[in-house]
Amino acid sequence: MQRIAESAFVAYDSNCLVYYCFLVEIPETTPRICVKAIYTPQARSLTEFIISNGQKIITFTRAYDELRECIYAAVTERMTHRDIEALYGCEYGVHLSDKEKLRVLTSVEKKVRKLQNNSWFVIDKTFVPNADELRKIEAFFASQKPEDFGTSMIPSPMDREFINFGLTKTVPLITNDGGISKFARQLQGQGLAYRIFNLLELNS
Amino acid sequence: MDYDFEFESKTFPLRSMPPRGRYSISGQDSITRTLPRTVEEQKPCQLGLNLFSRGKLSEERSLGDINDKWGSTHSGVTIFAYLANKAADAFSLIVSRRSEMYTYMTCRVRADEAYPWPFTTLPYSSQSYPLTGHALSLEVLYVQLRELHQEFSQWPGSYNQLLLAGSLDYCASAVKKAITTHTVISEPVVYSLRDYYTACLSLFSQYNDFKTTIRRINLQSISDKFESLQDICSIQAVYPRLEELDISDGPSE
Repeated sequence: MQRIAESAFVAYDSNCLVYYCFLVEIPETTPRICVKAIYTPQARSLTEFIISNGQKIITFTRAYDELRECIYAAVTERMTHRDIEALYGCEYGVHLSDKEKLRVLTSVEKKVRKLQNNSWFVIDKTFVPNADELRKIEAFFASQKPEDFGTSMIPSPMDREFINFGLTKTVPLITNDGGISKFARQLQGQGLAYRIFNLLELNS
Repeated sequence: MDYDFEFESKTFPLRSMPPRGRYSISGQDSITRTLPRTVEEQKPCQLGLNLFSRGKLSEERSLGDINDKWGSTHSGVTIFAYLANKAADAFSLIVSRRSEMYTYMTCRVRADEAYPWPFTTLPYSSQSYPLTGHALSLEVLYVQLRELHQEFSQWPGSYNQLLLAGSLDYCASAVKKAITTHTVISEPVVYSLRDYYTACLSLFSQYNDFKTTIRRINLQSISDKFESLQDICSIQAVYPRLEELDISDGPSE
């Protein structure tokens, strides 16, 4: 974590923001049931470090506006895990209802929207990605061997904007997307990115 | 075994009644209209039935598609029917057609002869009989909500898709609870539930051929409507708000 300690701002990708907020307590349960994403502990630990260090977390408007689909993906992925189903007392083969998924979805979304009320969270409303830089980043990823991405997806247009955001604002990026963090050094070497860190590596 | 179907519209006017005539139970899983009244209606009208496998009001099941015309104006339209009620000498079906609201009906079937076959021997829920008035209205609403929920649950996944599927699941569960606990739901609640159903049905009709585009639509008005619906259900003690639901409501029905 010390590697990001000197920057005034740290940029979180959408997943990291969702993981931080993905902590839903189900009322009236004893012991209390708490549904969280797999990487929620890492995201919260890092965020607490950043806050206590007087730093701020930053993202940009377009990424923030498109968080809903990211929340949807995280919630549906998590709520179909057998361990969560078991937590609810579902018998094997019985899945959680759509209304239960919606309960968690809306709860996470409310927390994401409340981030704006925190002094340590900033949305950059002025950022406009550089079209030339975006094309270069796209060409960079297109030139990589598919096997080098492993199980990760090739970065999306939003991911490419995120990389460009870090470079333009000279803020370190935190992501759990292997498709980005695996290529951090090469991107930096070609002048296409500022510093990029994987959420899990920062916590290790 | 032949039976006479007597179709009757209970609450809403039907645009087109299924043709009257003689229907026969052609097997445990089908009913066929064997004596059409006109040349135009000569094709048998077959319901893909799976009616009597449960025989309980609380376990309505989709019966499948109409394999043939249901009246000349309904060619190609998928119709679902549900077992709504069963008594010693008759049973009711609720038939609903997707994408139109006022299309359900009950059908009473009376046997010409003695019953040789399953429904006399299957148990049924005496608590659910008779199904009239308020209970019928709720039953129909439940069927409509659950049917639409199942439709949206099969759409491509997105935030909006889960909003629609999850909220309809909530509504159906609320109505189901009222039915099973014999709670009389006040008119404002029923109105809100119907209103919400209609709004979702409208989206279904509008985007059914362009399902993936629903993720890009601003559904703030639907979201607000659902919020106020939860408030009404909670205040009237019909069903708790989503975030206050008991954990036993978590698993799917």
